[in-house]
Amino acid sequence: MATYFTALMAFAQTSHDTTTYKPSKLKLDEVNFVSGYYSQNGNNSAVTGGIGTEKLTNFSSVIDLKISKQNRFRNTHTLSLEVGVDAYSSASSDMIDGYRGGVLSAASSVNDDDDEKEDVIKNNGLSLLKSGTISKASTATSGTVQQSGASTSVYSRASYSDVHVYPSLTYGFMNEDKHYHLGTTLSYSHEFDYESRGAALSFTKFSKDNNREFGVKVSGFFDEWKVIIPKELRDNTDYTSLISYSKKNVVGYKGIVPYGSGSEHDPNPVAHSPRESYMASFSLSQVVNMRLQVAMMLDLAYQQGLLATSYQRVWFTDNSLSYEMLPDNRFKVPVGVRANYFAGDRVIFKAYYRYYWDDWNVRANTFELEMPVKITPFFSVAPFGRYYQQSAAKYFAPYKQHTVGEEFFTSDYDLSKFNSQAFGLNVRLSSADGVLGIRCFNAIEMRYGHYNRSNGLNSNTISIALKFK
Amino acid sequence: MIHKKTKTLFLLAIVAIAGGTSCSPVKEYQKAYINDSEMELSSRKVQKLESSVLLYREGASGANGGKTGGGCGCN
Repeated sequence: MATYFTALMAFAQTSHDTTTYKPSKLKLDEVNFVSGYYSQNGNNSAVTGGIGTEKLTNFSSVIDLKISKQNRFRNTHTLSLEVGVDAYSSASSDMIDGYRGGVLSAASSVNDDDDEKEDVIKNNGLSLLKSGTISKASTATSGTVQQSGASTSVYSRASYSDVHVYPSLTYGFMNEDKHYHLGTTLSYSHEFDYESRGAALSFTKFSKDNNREFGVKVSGFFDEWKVIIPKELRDNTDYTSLISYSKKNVVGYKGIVPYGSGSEHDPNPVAHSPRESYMASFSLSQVVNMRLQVAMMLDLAYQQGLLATSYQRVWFTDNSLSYEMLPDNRFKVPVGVRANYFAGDRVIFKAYYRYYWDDWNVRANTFELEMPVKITPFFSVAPFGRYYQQSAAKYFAPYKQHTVGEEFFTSDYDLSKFNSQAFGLNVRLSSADGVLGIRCFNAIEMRYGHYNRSNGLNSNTISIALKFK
Repeated sequence: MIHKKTKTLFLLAIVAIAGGTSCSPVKEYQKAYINDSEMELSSRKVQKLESSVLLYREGASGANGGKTGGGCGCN
C-alpha cells in the first residue's frame, strides 16, 4: 500500500519542475484610477410620490490595485484592493424632510411647470418645497400660513447630500497547469441609510488551448437599512387637519411613534431592517475563430427583506398617503449574450443583448452596440449606443393612481414601463512606452454618455480612467 | 415596445454568427485580433459609473459581470 501511494505521489509531482523555476517576488501588477461625474434631471421623483424634481449630481472615484506572486509551482496568487467613493447631492432626497404642510403662496413655493399637478397639490392643502434650507424654529414668510410646531421638529437634512464608500478585497489563485482559477471577495458599502457586507466565491475553468472558459460565481450581500420615512408620516400631531390618514392608517413604523428622522441630532428612535441578496452567476465564453469570440451569461438572484425604499411616498386616489410598501422577496433571472468581432484591421463590432425576467412582472430587453475604430494600434475611438425597454412592475402606479385596498404599492418610476436610449463616445490612448512619456502610465480612457428615458429622465455621464502598469 | 420579431432576429444573428461560423481551434500565435485590448468581453473599467447608475435607474440588472441586486440601496 505504501509503495502504491508513493508511486501516485510521484506522478502527481512530475508536472512541476521545481528544480529550474524560481518563484517570483510580490509585485504590483496594475493600478487603475477611475473618476466620473454624473448629472441627471427629471420630473417623477419617487420621494414626492411620482412627481417633482429628480435633479441629482454625483462625483465618483474608484482606485483599484492588483499585486501578484508566483510560487515555485508556477501558480499565481493575486490580491486586488478596490476602494470607491461617491459624493452625491439630490434635490429629491432633500424632500424626505422638506415637506412642510400648510398653504404657501404658489409663487414662493411650488416650482412645477405642470399646472394641473400644481392645482392638485394646492387643493390638498399641501405644498412641497423644492429647495432651500430649513433651520430649526424657522417661520414661514409673510403672506403665508404660520406653521406652528412643524418647523421646530424639522431637522437638518442629512439626506440632501451624502458620501457612499465601498471598499472590496479579492484574492485569486491561478493554476496554469490544471487550467483553473479560484477567487474570493469580501466587500463593504456604506451610505447614510444603508450598510452592506458582501462575500463571493468564484471558480473558472479554462480549456487547454485557452479558447473556452466556463465560470461560476456565488455571492451574497447581507445588508441593513436605517429605515427613514417621510416627515409627515412619523407622527400625525402636526398634520391631522390636512391629511386624512384614517383609511391607510400609516403613521410611524413598526409601532414606533413618534418616529425619528434618522438625523444624528434627533433623539427619537428609528428602526433598522435587513435585506439579503443571493446570486449564482454562470458564464461561458468561446473563441470561435481568429476574429470572433462570444460569451453567454446567466444569473439567478434572490432577494429578501426590506426591498422597498421607505422614504418614497405613495399617494392614493382618496388623497391619503403612505410610504412605499413592496413584497419582502424578489426572484430575478437575467440572461445575456456578447459577441465581439474584429472586422478588417481597424474596426471592431461589440454587440450585447440581455433579457431580464423577475417575479414582480418586470420584463426587460437591453441592446448595446459599440464600434471601436483603431485609428492607430494605440489610439481608438468607440461610438456606442444602447436601447433598453422594460415593462412595469405589478406594484407600480403613477401619482394618485393607487387605491387604498392594495397590499403593495410604489410610484417609483424606476419600476414603471419605459424605454430608454443612450449614446456616447469612448476614446482610448495606450502606449507601451508610457502615455505622455510617463513610464508605467499605460493607458488613458475617456467616456461620455447621454441617457434619455421616455418618462422624461435624462442624464449625462463623463468618466476618465487611468491605467498604470 | 420592442417587437418580438426584432428581438428574436437580433438573438438569432448573434447565435448564427457564433454557431454558423466554423468553430476552429485557434492557436495562441493566431490570436492577434482576439487578444486586442478592444476585444475584451468584460465591461471597460471606465464604464463603472455608468453601470452603477443603471442599477439605481432601471428595474433590470445583471448578466453583465456586475451585480444583479444587493450591495446598495438600489433596485
